[in-house]
This record gives sequence, structure tokens and C-alpha cells, in this order.
Amino acid sequence: MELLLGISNFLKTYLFDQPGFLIGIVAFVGLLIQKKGISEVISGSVKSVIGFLIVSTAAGIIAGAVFPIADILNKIIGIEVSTAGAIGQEGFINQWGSEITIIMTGSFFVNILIARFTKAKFVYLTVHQMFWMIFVYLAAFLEVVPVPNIPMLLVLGSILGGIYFTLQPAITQPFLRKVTGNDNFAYGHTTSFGVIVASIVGNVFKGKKEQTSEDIKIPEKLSFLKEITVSTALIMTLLYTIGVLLAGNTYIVENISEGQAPISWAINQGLTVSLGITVLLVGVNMMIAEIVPAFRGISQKIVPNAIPALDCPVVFSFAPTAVMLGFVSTLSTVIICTLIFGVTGFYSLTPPVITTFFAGGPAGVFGNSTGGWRGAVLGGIVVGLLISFGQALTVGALSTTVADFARWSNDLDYAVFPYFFRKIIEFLAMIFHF
Amino acid sequence: MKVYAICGAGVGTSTLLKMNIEDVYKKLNLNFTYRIYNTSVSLAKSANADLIYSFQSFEKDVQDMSAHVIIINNLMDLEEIENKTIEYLKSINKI
Repeated sequence: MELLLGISNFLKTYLFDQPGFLIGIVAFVGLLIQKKGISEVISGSVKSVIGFLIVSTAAGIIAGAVFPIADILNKIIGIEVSTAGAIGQEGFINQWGSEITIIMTGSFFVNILIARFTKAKFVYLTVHQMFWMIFVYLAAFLEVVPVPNIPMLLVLGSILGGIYFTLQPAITQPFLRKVTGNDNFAYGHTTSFGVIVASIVGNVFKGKKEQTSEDIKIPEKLSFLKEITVSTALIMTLLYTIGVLLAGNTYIVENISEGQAPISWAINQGLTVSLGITVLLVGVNMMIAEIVPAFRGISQKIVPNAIPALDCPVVFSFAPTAVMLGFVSTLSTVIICTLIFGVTGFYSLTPPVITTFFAGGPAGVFGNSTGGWRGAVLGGIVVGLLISFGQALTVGALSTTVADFARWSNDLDYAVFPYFFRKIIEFLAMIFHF
Repeated sequence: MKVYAICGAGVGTSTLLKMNIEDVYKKLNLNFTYRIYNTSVSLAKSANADLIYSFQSFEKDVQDMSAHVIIINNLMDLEEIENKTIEYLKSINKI
């Protein structure tokens, strides 16, 4: 008995409580299953752990760079935004990283089981979005139940996760078919709610569907916007500069920039957001590099005729101009919402630049499939509204955990619904006293 | 030979494409050493690839790099990857 406890404690301290180790184990097992050589198994496992740590570190950088916005907006429009006492995204990843990893793996297996035994033959391969989806909803759950029964949490999370990762592509498929014309692959991305809505609202211009966006030429000069590093740096720097100018030199120097000249500080902050996101993407790349082939390999053995649910850029080539139209429409809408929300004192919105691209782009493609270029633009606008209101809702719903994440990443599936999910958990907790 | 799969963010689609390229290369049993990586458009220039696989959306962005570019339409279509790879490798007498 003592030996068991000793082993269990050892595992807990040196494995489970080390945030990145579990992802290394998943990669390790995955590489072994793929029968890779010992050198590759070691290399791949270590790299996935480092990737995880890069993600956690980058999360801290992004949070630090985005944080002062709250104070600045408070000065300009007088909205009280309190993030005191929150764990924060970096802390949350370090504290709950092992649980997230286990639920991610568990929900993958639930996904392939559902695909194997039902008609929903979809296997979700967008591993990095599995991570963020579970990250957000685990946080929402912990808001209500801060000290949960861990085994129950892991089982419940895996089941709910697996259901989402199977159902989401299934529900999106009829709308994706209007874009691709086939069932060769499915859409497996956390912007699914947005693209479905965009497809539906595109019907407003049903009569003009043939006036496709692809007949329009986008000037080459705008192509720099496609690069995340560049567009984030430019847009965030611009926003910070405007914010600093509106808040006034004295306030900024005394309270925010620790003596640094305001505009210089603003440029630094804007560039730091881009730094954080660029590094984050490198970390995610390393973290999932070994896990994706493992997941795909396993799914091919168990559900060989499954349709792979893929990352959102797979729809880009079907309507590249629509991607730009959708992105620009969404970004413009979000920026306008920032102004209107601020002026009315409703909420201090931080434009989530990376989301505006990965939600707005596909929304343009789906909107174009039902309503031509007008559908693409309208789809982008509606998605922009959903993102903006979604951020306001979600930041409130995650106030003691990862509200800082909700300030820069608002993929609709985890930006529109967490508030309602939390309400459901509160209701259930009340009834079942947990 | 340094082979790179390139996409926008260097995370989702390029990881899947890299995975499929690896499967194809393994099947082709090539007699030269190669390593396959994946990264984003932004980091592609400093990667110094010999051969790049990418998508239509990024064709213009990867054009002026010294690497040869193969454009893939369906990243999950192993046949397409295989055919285009063989076509290129034949043209440089590596197969």
C-alpha cells in the first residue's frame, strides 16, 4: 500500500505536475506506435515538451503585452476592467497542462470511437485547436468548480470533447459542401460557428450568388496583411498609438509606461504582441508535430473510411479573394465595434487580430458560396460582430482563470459559448451539489 | 535535400502536408538523403529549402526563393503529392 502511494506520489510530482511532460509522453507513445527509430523517438518527444513550454512562455508574453490595454481604456472611457486575482493563461497552462493533455488524448479516442460506431465518420485532425478548445472550456468549468474531482473531470472532459470533435465537422459538412462540392474532407476548426452563420447570411444575396468574389482582383500591395507577424504588429501598434494619444502623455508616463515616452512605449507594446504570437505559433508547431501523425495513424487503423476534419485554410484555395474580403470585413467590423463599445462605455474590446484572419477568411469563403462577393462581405461583418460581443461575454465568464486569453483569441466556438456553458455548469452544480 | 511544407501560420495545414509528404517519400524508397520540415510563409525565406511544397494561396509568396516549388491542391491526396514529386525528381534525375 505504501509502495503504491509512493509510486503514485512520485508520478504526480515528477510527471503529472510538470506541465509539458505529459505531452512528451503522448508524443513518445505515438512515435513508438509509428515504429520510428530510437533517435527519432527521443528527438520528437523532447521537442514536443519544449514546444509546450514555448507555448506557455509565449502566452505570458502576449498576456503581458495585452494587459495594459485595460488600464488605458479605463482612462479613456472610464470602464472599470479588473483582472486582479486571475490565474492568467500562462499560469493556467502550467497548472492544468497535464489535465488538458489527457483530456485532449481522451477526446481523440472518444472521437474515433464515435466515428467507428456511428454514421458520423469524421476524425478531427486539427490538434492545436483541440488544445485551445479544451483549455477554454476547462477554465470555464473551473470557474464554477475550482477544486474538481480530477478523474471525473478527465473522463467527462474526454467524452464532451470527443462529442464536439465529431459533431462539429458533421454539422458543418452541408455548408462546406457548398464550397468544395464534395465530401473528400471536412472542416475541423473552432471557427465553425462563424462559417456556418456566414454561409446562412450569404443567402441574403442568393440571387446574386454567381457574382463571385473570384472575379474581383485584389491589389498585390495588400498581400502583406496575410502574414500574421506583420498584420498583428502593424494593427496592434496602431491601436496602442491611438490609445496612448487619447489617454494623454502624462497619464501614460506616470501610470503605464514606467517613464518611457508614450509613443515609443506604444510601438514597443504593439510589436511585443506580434512577437508573442509569432513565437507561440513556432511553439505550437513543435508541440503538435509528432502528435498529428500519431493521431492520424491510429485513426486510419480504427476508422479507415473516415473523413478527415481539417484546419480552416483548406478552404482558402476555393476562393482566395473571398478570404481577403472576409478578413478585411471582419477586421473593419471589429475595429468599429472597438470604437462604438468604447464610446458607449459598454466594453473595452481588444481586436483579436489573429482571429479576424482565421475566422474572417473562411467566413468570406462560405459567404461567397451562397451569396457571391456580397455574401463574403456580409459574412465577414456578421462574424466580426459575433467575435466582438463574444469577447465581451467570454472575458466576463472567465474572470478568475483565463480572461487574458479571451482578449486576443476569440475563435467563435470558444468565444460565443463559454458564457452559456458556465451558466449550465452553475445550474448543474446547484442541483447536484458538486 | 531540404524539403519544406509551407503554409500561412506554419501550424495546421503544413504539419498535415509534411506528414503526407513523409509517407510518399517513404513509399518511393528514394536513394538520397532528405529531411522534411514545415514552417510558415514568414519563416520560409530563412529556411533555405531545396524543395518547397505549398498551396495556391502562397504561390506568389514562395516564388522568389531559390527552391523549386510544387503546388498541392489537396493536401490529403497522396496520389497528387506522389505524382508531382515523381515528375520533379525525374526532371532533376534523382529518380
